[in-house]
Amino acid sequence: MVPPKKTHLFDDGQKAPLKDAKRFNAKTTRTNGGDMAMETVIGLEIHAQLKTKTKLFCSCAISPGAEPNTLICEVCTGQPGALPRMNAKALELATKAGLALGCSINHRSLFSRKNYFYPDLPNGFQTSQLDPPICSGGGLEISAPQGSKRVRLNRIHLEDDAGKCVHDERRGKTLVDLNRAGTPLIEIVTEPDLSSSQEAMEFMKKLHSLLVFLEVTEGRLEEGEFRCDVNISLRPQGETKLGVRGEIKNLNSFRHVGQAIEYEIKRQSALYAKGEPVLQETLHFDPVRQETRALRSKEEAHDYRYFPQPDLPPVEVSPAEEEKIRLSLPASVEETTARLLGLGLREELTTLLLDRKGALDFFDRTLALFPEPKKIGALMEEFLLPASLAQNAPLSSSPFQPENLAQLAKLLDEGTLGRRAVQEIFAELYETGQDAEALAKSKGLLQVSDMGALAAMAAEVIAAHPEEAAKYRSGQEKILGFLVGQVMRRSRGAADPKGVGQALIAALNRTE
Amino acid sequence: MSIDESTVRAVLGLARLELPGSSAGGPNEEENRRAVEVMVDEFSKIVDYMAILGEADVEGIEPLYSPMIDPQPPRPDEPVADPAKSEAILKEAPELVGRYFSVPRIF
Amino acid sequence: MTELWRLDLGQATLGLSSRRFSATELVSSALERIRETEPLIGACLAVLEEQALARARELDEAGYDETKPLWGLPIAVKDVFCLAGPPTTAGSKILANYHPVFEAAVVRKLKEAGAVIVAKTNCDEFAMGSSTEFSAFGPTKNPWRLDRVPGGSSGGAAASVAAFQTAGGLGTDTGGSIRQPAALCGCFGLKPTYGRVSRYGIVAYGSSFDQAGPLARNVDDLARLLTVIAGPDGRDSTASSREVPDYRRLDPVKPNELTLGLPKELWSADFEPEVAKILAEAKERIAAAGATLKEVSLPNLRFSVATYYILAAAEASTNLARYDGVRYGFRDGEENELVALYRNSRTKAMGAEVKRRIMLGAFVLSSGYYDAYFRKAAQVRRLIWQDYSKALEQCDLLLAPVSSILAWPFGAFTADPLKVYQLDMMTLPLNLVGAPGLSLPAGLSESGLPTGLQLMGRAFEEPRLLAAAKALEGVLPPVGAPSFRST
Repeated sequence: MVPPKKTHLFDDGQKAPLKDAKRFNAKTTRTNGGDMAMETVIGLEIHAQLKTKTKLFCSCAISPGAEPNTLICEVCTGQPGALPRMNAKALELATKAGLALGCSINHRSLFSRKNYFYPDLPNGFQTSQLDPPICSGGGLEISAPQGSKRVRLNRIHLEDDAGKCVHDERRGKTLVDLNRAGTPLIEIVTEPDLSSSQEAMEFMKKLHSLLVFLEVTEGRLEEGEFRCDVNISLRPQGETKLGVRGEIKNLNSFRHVGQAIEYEIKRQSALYAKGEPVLQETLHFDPVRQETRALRSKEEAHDYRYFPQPDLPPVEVSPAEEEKIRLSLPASVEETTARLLGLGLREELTTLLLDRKGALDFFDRTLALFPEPKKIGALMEEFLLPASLAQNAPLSSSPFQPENLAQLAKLLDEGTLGRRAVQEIFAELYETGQDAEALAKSKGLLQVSDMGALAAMAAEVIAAHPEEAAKYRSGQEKILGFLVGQVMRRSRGAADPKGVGQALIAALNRTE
Repeated sequence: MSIDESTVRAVLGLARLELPGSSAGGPNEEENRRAVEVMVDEFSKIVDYMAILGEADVEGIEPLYSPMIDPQPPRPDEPVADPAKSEAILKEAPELVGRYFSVPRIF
Repeated sequence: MTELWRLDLGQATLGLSSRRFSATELVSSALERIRETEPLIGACLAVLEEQALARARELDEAGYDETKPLWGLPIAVKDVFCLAGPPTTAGSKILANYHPVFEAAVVRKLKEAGAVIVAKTNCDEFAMGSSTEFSAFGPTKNPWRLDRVPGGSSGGAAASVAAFQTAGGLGTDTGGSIRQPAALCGCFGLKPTYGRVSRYGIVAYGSSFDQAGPLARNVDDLARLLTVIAGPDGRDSTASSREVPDYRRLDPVKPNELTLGLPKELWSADFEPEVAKILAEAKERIAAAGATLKEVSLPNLRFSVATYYILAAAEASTNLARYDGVRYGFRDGEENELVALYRNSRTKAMGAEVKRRIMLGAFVLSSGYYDAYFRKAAQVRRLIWQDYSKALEQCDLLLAPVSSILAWPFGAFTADPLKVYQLDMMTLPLNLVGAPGLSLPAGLSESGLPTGLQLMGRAFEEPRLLAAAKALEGVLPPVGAPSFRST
């Protein structure tokens, strides 16, 4: 046999095409970078927890608040003889994320075992994907100082999460809860295309809202459902080879991503300035002290010994299934923004509708009932979204539904209700979902739009303000606003301003 | 012999196994030394034998990792709750603190 | 009603269905036979006396149920199947006190079919071995000669069936662990196609090789058991969705309708003279009965031992990573540091052979060696698969020996693990390919020890395999009952 190449047993690079692909292999670089302009190179690995009811390989429910070790079975605790069976929904969601990010879907991908010992890892291996992953390539546009910038993705792969360790100081123990073990994740790996903390945060936020919008993930950062590892290195400007990277692990807030990168840039720059080597190491960000620290080096270097997981068949996504998921995708954020702007909505309102969970859906359903986008948009912006925000409850949980909003818009449009009346009754409508017209009527808030009544009031006002009437007739039409105001005052706001204007003009013309 | 003691130590490290007698020490040192030699020798012979694969012509041959045929499709995303099972699992634990599995402190 | 233990599964079913005896009587007789023979052979790690009698009484109260094909039949299972009751140990100290929290798919199927599990049989630790000498709870003895091994790793199941403790048992076959002990103990054993039987609840050794299968004293009984245990259970993803036929109702085949391929690389092995003699006679009988025997070739067979040990060890090394003393099983309680706890728990509670295979597996997967060992072995696996398929284009089934030597004396090879690996050469290829195989007794040596022949078919061709085995069963000399000779 050709004697195997006597590379070191723990050479991490050997069969990790993932790491090769990221080209982060250089060990140490020395530059006397003191007087040299350096640029920052950042790649992200983002873990998003998939929005499934059950774990990736067993039927245990997922619930972050549950009592420790209640959502466990033989599979997710690694009992002898237990075997995994994949969750179809997780596969669908991973495919959906890939399609939305422009990845190519691998119709046949493989799960591999990633072997290491840790108390929160019940099988002694994580089930992840090495080669091929479910999605390859793809990318996401972000706005950058020089206009928009496309951040390329290397891959998206499926894997299961580990359990949680809690440290018990008093007893000197580490306590293990396996409720989270086996929760489905996708890991989204970018190319090293980002060059500042702002870009990294922008990318992470944009990816987050996209995946939340697609309902791929709940994305609750505080629960660790969306977390990020940052690979960061510096190099002299113009250099094409990557510098030695630090890998900051497990950041679960946009702000911390920015802060950790800023700190790490300073730290690495200082090393280059002093001519000291940057070490390739795994770092932890301490948000209190605002600094990164190397994680205590493990007793042995990692050699994950990846190999195809023999307990699982290849992951198959047929072209037909891919197409079906593609067709089910809602329009992208870009497409939706363009559509809303096309309907005449202002940009801020468009952003608002996209950012608030359920808002776009509410808007579209209302629009289907009453096709006046600007009017619906204005009502949502002025009344509905602030009300739901104040209640801190999703739109769908209120009895006030698209039917109610459509009715309200229609009443306003017809002049049955005035804006002031809406202001007075909206809180109650939102609470109860009752009939707006009936409520306004019961409160005496229906608008006077009876032309006879308006004409009478117009005549009275003209009689009371002959000077202003004369000015109008002599061509100073702006004075009409004052006369309208007078009629409105007389009606105590209940008159329909549009009708008032018409009645006044008619009366002024008649009595010329 | 293709395998030396350092490789055997590295493999044992990966597998979380001890060299024979290495936790005992003391008076049996000579015996332990012998046991280590036997282990290295034995492991080396096994690995050397595997080198026969060097003679196989596998140019262009796709690896066969499993002979499975018509395996099961993914399962539907429907939760199954079995509270008795989690209790039975905890009953097997060598050490518990409350409902947690307990191990010596990591950090 | 004495000596009901002598009945095979078919005969016992007849007696039960005609109410000549009750399930309780049948089970009591099996338990009595176990009590009588256990001190000689040590085939069982646990005898489920109370559990089995309670179950038998329950069945009797409910009355005979013809929809349950194994109604009232005492069965023994290898101690790698998760089962409620006494610990499921897989022959390892690390699981000496482990109580599974669920039952293996095949155990559930046996119970649903009305079977009464009476014993859990001994095996090499984690099914790694060919002699049952690597059981942490002591070896099982061969019922034909008590100074000899019964083979392994399902040595307890084979010895138990051969000794008439039960008429049927379940084992697992990862590299020959059903067929080889069946041959060395003079009974019948079937390794089904990979994926034919759910692996759910079988303590894993080599995930792409492991397969559960029956041991019995005739072909019909193998078919009865296979019909019950075959088919997916929804929890083993690798189990096949292919339809399960009723293996009990097969079109009979006559010997003269069979074309059997003899792989020359297996028939030209270095046989112990007594084995060579039995095999030659068996071959003559089969030819005389009219079967067409044809030489075929498996050119890459010489790589099969290395290929198998690399791949199975790799899978084993990570399948056994879960035994870390954290959630269940043995923990070295003296340790106050996590890595030491792992290392000491595993080192103290795992046997030498298990450690060897874990080490080999970790080595062949490790960085720098993966391509030369693991990946290459997976490529050679395909070559062997191709050879096998090609050989079967020229014949109905392959016919080969099971072991080149007779059951050997205890300790004969303990100092030479590699030699034992090489002894598996006859049985491994089938597991590499995932195809089904059936081992049947070929005759007794002058020294009073049996050996066997195996038939091998294409994936999911168990019907053809069973029909052909039935034809040969009538041609080959029956081995009878073992004598429990001490030397």
